[in-house]
Amino acid sequence: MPRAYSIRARLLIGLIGSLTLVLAAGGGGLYWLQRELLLQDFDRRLDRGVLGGMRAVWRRPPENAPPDPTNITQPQEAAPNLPEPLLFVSIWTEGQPKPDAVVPGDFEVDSRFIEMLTESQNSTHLSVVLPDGRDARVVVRKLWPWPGARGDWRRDRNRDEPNTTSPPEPAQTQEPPARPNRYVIAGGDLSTLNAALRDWLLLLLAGGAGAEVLVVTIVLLAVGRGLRPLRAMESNLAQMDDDDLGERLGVEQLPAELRPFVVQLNKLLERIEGAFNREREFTANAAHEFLTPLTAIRTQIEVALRKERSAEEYRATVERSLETLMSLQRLVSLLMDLARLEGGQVHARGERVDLVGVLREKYDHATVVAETHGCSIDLQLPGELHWHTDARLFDRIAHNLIDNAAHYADPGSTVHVVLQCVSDTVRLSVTNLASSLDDHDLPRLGDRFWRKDASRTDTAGHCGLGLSIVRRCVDVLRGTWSAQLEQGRLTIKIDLPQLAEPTVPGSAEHTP
Amino acid sequence: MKVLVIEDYAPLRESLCQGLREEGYTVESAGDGEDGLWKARNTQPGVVVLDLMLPKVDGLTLLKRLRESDKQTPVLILTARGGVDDRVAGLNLGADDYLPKPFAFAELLARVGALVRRRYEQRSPRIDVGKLCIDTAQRKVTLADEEVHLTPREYHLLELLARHAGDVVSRQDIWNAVYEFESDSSSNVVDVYVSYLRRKLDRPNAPSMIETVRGHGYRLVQEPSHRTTPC
Repeated sequence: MPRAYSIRARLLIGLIGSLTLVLAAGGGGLYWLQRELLLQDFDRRLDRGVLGGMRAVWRRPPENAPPDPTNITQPQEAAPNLPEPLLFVSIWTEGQPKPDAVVPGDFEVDSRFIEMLTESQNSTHLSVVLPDGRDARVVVRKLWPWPGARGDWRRDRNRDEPNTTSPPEPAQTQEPPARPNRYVIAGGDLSTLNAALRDWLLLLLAGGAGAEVLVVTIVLLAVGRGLRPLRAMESNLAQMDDDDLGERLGVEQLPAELRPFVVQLNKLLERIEGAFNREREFTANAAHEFLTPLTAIRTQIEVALRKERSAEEYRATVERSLETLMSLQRLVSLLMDLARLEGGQVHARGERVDLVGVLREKYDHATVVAETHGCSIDLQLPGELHWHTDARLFDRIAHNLIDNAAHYADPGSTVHVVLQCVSDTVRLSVTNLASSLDDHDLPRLGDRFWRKDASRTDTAGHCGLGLSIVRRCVDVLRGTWSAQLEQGRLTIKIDLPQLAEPTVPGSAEHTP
Repeated sequence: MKVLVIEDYAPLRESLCQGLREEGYTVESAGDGEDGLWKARNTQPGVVVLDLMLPKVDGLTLLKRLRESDKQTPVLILTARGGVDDRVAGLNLGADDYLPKPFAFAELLARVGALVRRRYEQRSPRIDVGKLCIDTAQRKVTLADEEVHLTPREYHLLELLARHAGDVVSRQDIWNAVYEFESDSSSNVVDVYVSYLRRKLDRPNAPSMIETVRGHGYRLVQEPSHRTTPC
């Protein structure tokens, strides 16, 4: 797995690396430019020097005669002063193994110069290492025009002046035979130029190192400053604990890149806080639901034991304690059912269920509850409706929904229970007047132990688990649940699909 | 001493009321926050035992509203929410003590007794008025080292007078402290019980320890004066 570098490391590596490359490229470019300029200057001086050097190997022409480059001889002086920056001058005839003339005479020439002749065109500049190890710049230049060759000024002059000293002989009318080319090869010592380039390189390196230090410092500061909001955010996050999830990260001061991230983080915190609060509430409610009956039983017994009583009084105390114990047992049973449903231990078994029959049975039971609260139940059922679903889970859903509606409906109101087919699902709707509810309560319906009233200890068996169990049963039956509140009327709709096959073949798990 | 029990779970509420009555307290009870707040304001309880999760008005809201007008009545909170935050919230709102469920009834009695003592700035459970000595923990009354046997109602009447020894306690205060709201006793009962107490406490032909202050009420004195006429 590739190692995940920190953003700081990535930024530092990226910025310092790229800026170093830019610096290196800039330094290299400057070095190359300086070298080219110095070489051009050197070459110009070399070219100028070649003309002077040629004098050393030319025989001085007669007075008023044009210079004749073919008139070459070894220099009269043993060591003529060659103009700067010339190191040597030599004349070569193409195809010859040795030069025609070399100045100074003891200058050592080798075969590389012959190779240069073949490689060169009319004129070229080359950098070479001389046999004695010195770096030199060499200019190779074809001597042009060559006597007798095309463009020879003497031949052209004779052609232009036919009536001079002697009439042209017939043989002279013919083109002279082609003669090998001659070249001048002159070289200059590059040591001064190289020294200047070395100085320039050192200057560039020193400047580059300084610039690099500056770049690293600026990048470190800029990256540190740029990452400051992240560090501040980290510090804020570190200060949060699960006891105080109400805190949110500030968005206004953040850079634009971080803002969407923090907004999403805040939304996540909000969701986590909601879940935490629900869990805390559940724990507190569960504690209350268990501890209050337990306290009642303990108090009943302790009070009974504080003094001698008659057998009837003891019997009455035991009966009260037993009744309280039974309500506690009902609560434990409901919680166990809910835990099994939430834990995925309950599986639906598809079977043909007479939904109308089930609802009529529930109606009979709920009517008694409704009457005690001064309500009535209106049942709207089709003549017959058989559906492939889990009989016990549907029974539980119908019982809890209708019983819940009858218990919590406003006194004097009517609970409407409607069963109908909607495309390929069956819909059970239960509507009751619940004027105490508001829209904020809708998402809480089905939360464990949630009841609109803070009172926890309803001895009638309503402890806020009925709708939670309905929701889990609907999930197991792959159905959907929705709750709507319109003008104080709460409607809970359950849509159930047909279950063709048992969801887990062979599982005969009991439903609550 | 009157104790108001505000608890919505009927089995617990009834047991608490029975236990407290048997210990000699006068007990009022309420099953929801609204009724509880009304009784806390209007029946002048000596101590309020308050559950937090109540229908209509929850316990903390009840406490907050009660403290807006009544800063004296001690309140003992009972709840299954025993977390530090809940306790701090309750105590910050003016509760005097906190008892997490489940609790031992004996502990509840001890705490209620401690709250009563605190209310009357009495550090010891013993009240001495001259030769009269009342042990409020044992509910035992002695007069010149001789035990006086009193009924719970007589005891409470005497304890109330002893707590205000030297001061006049009005008939209405005695009524509020000793009798339950629902009871149909007439105010004459106060005078009847005072006469019962006098019979048990006073020596023959000696001035009464309980003086009648005409038009106001009664006063328990250390040294009975000959000027006071027994009622």
